[in-house]
Amino acid sequence: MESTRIDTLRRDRLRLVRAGTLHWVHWLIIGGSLAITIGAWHLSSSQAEEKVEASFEREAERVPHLVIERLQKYEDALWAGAAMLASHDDRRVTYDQWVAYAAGLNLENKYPGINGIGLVAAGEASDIPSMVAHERDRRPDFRIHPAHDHAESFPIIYIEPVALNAKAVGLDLAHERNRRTAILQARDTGQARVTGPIVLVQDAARTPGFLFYVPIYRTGAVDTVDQRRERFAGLVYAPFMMNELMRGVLAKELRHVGVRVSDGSDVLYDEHVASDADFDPDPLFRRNVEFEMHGRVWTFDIRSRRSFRAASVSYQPLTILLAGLFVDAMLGLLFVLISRANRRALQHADAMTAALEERSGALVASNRELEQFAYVASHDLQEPLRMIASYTGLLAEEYQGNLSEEADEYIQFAVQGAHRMQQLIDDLLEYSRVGRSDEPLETADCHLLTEWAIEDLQLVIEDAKAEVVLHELPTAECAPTLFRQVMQNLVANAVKFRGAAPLRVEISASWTAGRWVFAVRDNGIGMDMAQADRVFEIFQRLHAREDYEGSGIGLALCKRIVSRTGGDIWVESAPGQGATFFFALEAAEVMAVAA
Amino acid sequence: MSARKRVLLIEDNRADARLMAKALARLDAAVDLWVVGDGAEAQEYLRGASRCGADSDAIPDLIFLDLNLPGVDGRSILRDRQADPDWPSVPIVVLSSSRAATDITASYQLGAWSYVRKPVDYPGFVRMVKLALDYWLDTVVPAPRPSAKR
Repeated sequence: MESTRIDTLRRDRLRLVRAGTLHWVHWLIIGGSLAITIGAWHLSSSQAEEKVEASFEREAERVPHLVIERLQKYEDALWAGAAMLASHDDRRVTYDQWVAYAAGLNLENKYPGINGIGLVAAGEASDIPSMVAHERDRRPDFRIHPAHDHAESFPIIYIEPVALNAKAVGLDLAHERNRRTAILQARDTGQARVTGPIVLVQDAARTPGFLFYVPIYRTGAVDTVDQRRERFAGLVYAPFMMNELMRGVLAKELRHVGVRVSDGSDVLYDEHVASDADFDPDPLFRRNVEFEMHGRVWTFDIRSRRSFRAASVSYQPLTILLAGLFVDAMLGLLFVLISRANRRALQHADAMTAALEERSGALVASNRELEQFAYVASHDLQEPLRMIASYTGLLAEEYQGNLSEEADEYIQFAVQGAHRMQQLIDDLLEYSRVGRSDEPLETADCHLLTEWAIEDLQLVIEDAKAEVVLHELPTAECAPTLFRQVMQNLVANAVKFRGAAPLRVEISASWTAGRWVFAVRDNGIGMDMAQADRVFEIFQRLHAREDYEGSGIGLALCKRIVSRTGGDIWVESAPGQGATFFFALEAAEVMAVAA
Repeated sequence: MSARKRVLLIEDNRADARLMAKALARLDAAVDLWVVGDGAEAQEYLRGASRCGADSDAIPDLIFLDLNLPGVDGRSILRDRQADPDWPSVPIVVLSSSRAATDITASYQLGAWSYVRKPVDYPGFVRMVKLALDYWLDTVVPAPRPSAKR
């Protein structure tokens, strides 16, 4: 029994030793948690990248569409001018009418970026004098310029607001290839056309610009190129400075992308310049898209800018990574602390065990000393006692009749004293012996043990004419010899303290609070409950020696025996009412109190 | 077999030895009492007696042995006799104040014939001596002793 307990303890200790070191489960958990952290970081950063790319795509798509949309609006305005002219038979309005029309368009506010809206006449070079003459009625300084060798003549007749475009009035657009080609295309296709990049005459800064044409035809079918050439009456046009157009279209500060617009190798508009503070020489994203722009192909080169970099920085992946690593580190720390705590607990337990072993060693030594003492007491204390008693007795015998009666009585007292002394010494030894008894616990038949105890007392029981009733007792875990000794002492005690009535001793057992409680009931003299505790103390007597014999060791022995296994002994009694001694060999079960 | 029996008392306490003598006198026993007060001396004596032969007069008819002796104690003497192949069967009665189980068990294991606790009072002592003499000297039939040493 003891050895299995020690084995269990040893196993528990080994378990503690294992718990005191980090082993593969801990590493697995830390490794798994690290993998999850890195996975989450990776996922989050790739998501963030996708988000950034999507946001670039969105912006990159928006820029050309805004430009296209804006040009569409301008085209509508030009077509409106063409429609207005179509309501006049000769496709011609007076200067004042044009001024009024242009004013009505409210160019400055409604069409930002457009420099003006003009009317271009279509004729032969030979028509120039008559065209000039016609305009000079109203505008004496009107002239068509510059002179050129082409057969056609496309002079700008009106351009409003004239203040911004004075240099363009009378400009013959046929003089220059770029301007003329677009006009011929517009004429032949019947559609709006833009020129390639040009420098507007009215632009002193000489920035890139272009002209936007819409053709006007005289009444009649214009389904074929020939019919269109036949009936071509002129154009409504608008000059653009690219910078102005883009400024109107794109609010730069709201964008995180820059754009360069090119027509072939000619750059129309360029934000990719190192002087721009937001320019990113190494853009995160770039995209080239081409759009057909009324006869021209415009290339939009869109690149992310510095501000895009700043706006696209996401702290989420880094946060996830750092937080995850922090948690992992805490986890690792926790494991280390737990294992260290386990190691400390183990050290502590080992130290305690060592201390206990030391103490138990000391206890063994002390027990051995006590045994030695007991032996010495039993022998060496009794030798002188015997000498006193024997020689007093010898004295009494040899001087019989020579001593007074009183002297004989003295001698008798001395001998009696020696006898009592020997009894006390024997009782003390017995008391010390049961306390050190190492009789093992075993499952024993308590009924049989009690029967034997009663048999041992047969003589005194018969002397007292007592009736002993033994009820069925259980088989229980106990130290048999000690159990028998307790029973014997209790029955002997009952017999000793019998009253006047015939003595009846009843022995029974009951299962109470998870243990067997044995009871020895008598109808003897009983006792005052105030004295009840004293009866279990060694050499305590409630009665005079003359009335009841004995050294007063019996009940003390019983208490010492039941205490050895953690049990209890107690008495219930009243003077003259008999007494019931109860004892249990085990501690009562502590009942769990339901909350 | 001589009429007077030889009783050997091995006892270091002179008062006790005196008590034995008194008791024998009181009983008017036909015995010669030899007292040896020292364990070592007793051991030497018994070894010598054993060498003299089983029918030697040096061999007592009854031995009272006090267990607690200074130096060579009662146990050693018992062990010594047990180990001696020439030693005849002589009743050895151990006398002791001790009631300790170890003393009692050891004595019987080492060949004691009886273990007697010394009575406290004189009448008890006399009664004990009488019983022992009556039993071991007059009642028990001793093992026959070879007439000469082989």
